[in-house]
Amino acid sequence: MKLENKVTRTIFTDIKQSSRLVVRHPYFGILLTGTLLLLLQVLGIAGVIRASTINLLTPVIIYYLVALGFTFLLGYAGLASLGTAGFVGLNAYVLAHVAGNLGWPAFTGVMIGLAISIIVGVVVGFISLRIEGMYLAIITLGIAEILVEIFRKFLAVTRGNAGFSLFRMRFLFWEFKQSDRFTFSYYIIIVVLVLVMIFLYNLIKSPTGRAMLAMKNSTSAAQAMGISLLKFRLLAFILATIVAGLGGSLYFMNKLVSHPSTWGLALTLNILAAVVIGGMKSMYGVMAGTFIVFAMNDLLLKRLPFFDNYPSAYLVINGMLIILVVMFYPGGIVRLFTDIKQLVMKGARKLKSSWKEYRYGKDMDPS
Amino acid sequence: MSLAMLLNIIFAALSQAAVLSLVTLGIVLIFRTSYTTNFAQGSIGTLMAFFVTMFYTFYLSAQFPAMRGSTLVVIAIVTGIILGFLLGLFIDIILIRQSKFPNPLTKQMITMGIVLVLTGLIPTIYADVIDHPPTPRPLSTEIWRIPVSGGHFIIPVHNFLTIVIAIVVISTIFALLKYTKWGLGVRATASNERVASMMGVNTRFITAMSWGIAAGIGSLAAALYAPSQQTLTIGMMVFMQVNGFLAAVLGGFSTFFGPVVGAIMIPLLTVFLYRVDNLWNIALVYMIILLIVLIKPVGLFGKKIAKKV
Repeated sequence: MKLENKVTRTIFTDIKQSSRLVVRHPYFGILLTGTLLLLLQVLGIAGVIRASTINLLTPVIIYYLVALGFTFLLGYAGLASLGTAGFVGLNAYVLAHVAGNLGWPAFTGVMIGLAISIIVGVVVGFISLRIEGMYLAIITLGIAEILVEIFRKFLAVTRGNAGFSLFRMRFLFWEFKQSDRFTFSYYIIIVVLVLVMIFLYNLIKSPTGRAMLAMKNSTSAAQAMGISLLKFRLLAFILATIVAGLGGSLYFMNKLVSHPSTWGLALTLNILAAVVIGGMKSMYGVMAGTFIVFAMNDLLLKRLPFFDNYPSAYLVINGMLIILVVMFYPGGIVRLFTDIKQLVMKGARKLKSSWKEYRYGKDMDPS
Repeated sequence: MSLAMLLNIIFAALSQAAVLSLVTLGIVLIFRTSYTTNFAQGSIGTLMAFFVTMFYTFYLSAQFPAMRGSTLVVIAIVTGIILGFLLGLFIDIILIRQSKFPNPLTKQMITMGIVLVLTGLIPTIYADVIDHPPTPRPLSTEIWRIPVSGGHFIIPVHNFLTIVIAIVVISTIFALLKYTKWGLGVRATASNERVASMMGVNTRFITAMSWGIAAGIGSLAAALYAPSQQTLTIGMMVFMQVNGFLAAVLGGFSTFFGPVVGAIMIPLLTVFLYRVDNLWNIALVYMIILLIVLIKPVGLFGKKIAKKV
């Protein structure tokens, strides 16, 4: 009898301990996020969530992917770039051109897009060796403006301001149609997102990530420690453009539409805002930031009559949030969560001690 | 190409250059005193351009029908400039100075936040007229026609006045920078803020005034630009904002006259390249700017600043 009790207890503690290990594992959060996002569409097909909600969320997930790449560039390598939206749009149009105009398999389009991303990353990386800081931001802004000009005017490839639209596209074994309410591309997006998250997590913890952090804090000190600026700046830009490019390919795969106006300065600034609001060094912070910037209006605020009457008013909220976060919470919204947690813990401890005082009387122990 | 056409093209480019150089000067003034790129320069201008037009159409012309339209427009624009000035002061004193860790990146983010707030605010304030905003009234509706070989040299008086006002304002600001105590303070703050404040320069006052003046000339630029566009849109200053940055980089952020020269060069280059290739002229201009900046990272007139570790 006694023995049995002991055995069950050890099994119980074993499960508890191992489950704690699993939850503490860094991949747990990433995989959980992926599973929950996958479930969204499954629930949508089951009829619990409306298709329009998922169609609203899909670009937001893609922007989150792009924002992750951007976080790496800004938060870890410390390189300011304002070309993000242009690089995303570039790959969307590459896929559109390859699949729509040339009629090649869409997978080749994605691969060509990635190759172009690498070239763009190398070019911008080399530029970043000569020009730094605000100048670099403005120069990348110039590059993005050139790209948008090309999207607008290179009619033979991009079909101009009217936008590029495909009715159907075959990607590997799947066929995507614009008329589909739920497309398989959603699952591809989630899988890519999870892979990129795991990759970035490992990269940040690796010597490469440490080298980039060192480079961010002081280029001269980093060089003195033997870190090659050329190598790591190129790497940072290549990674960021690859992730941005993947985002572009996935966007076109999902929407089968691309407009030049989507890829303007506004998108770049919004992604920057998402990264800053959320917190530059936390994946989940960026997730919260992306949700606030891109999805909060459509999913939550529009329910309120005021925001329904004045459709632009949500921008005021976004802007004020950015200003407030930057002014008082430079670590981003993530910091707010930890602060609230601390506050709650403190309050709970106080409550517990006062309850004990009430229950057992004042502690007379002088120590 | 006839002489008339050439003159008309150059005049159109110059009137755009006038507005652009005002915007650029504002950006540079803020960059030199608070070390940040002000994304909100165009948005503040847009808000004030809306205000000027609404104030003129719905208040001034209704209340004072006896007065001449031009006088009322001037009153509206002056009010707009004053409000813009106050908005600039507000941004520096209330937002930037109160933030916990002011550094260039956070300041830049704050200006970005202001862009979002203003982009949302304009359609919310003017919700009932945003779909069909009233046409902004020019300073003068007259148009001069001067016969030259091959046609007429057409000068809309409003554009002519825009150029004159821009020249006057820019010269005044350069004179202020050179001869007044504020100007000396700006130059001292620009070269090194900490040393300037140790030498007894009131850098806070200098920065606040620079924000005010920059927002004021931004408002003036937008108020003058709107009538030549003949319509009001929320994105009307985005082009000017982007080109203002590029002009500042082209001319070099380290001087005050360099960016203004850059701002005059960009529209002229654009129209001349229009003759070369009318589809890709803007892309070509940007490419040229990028190449110049790659070869000379400090800009055309910039000086390299030696930095110690």
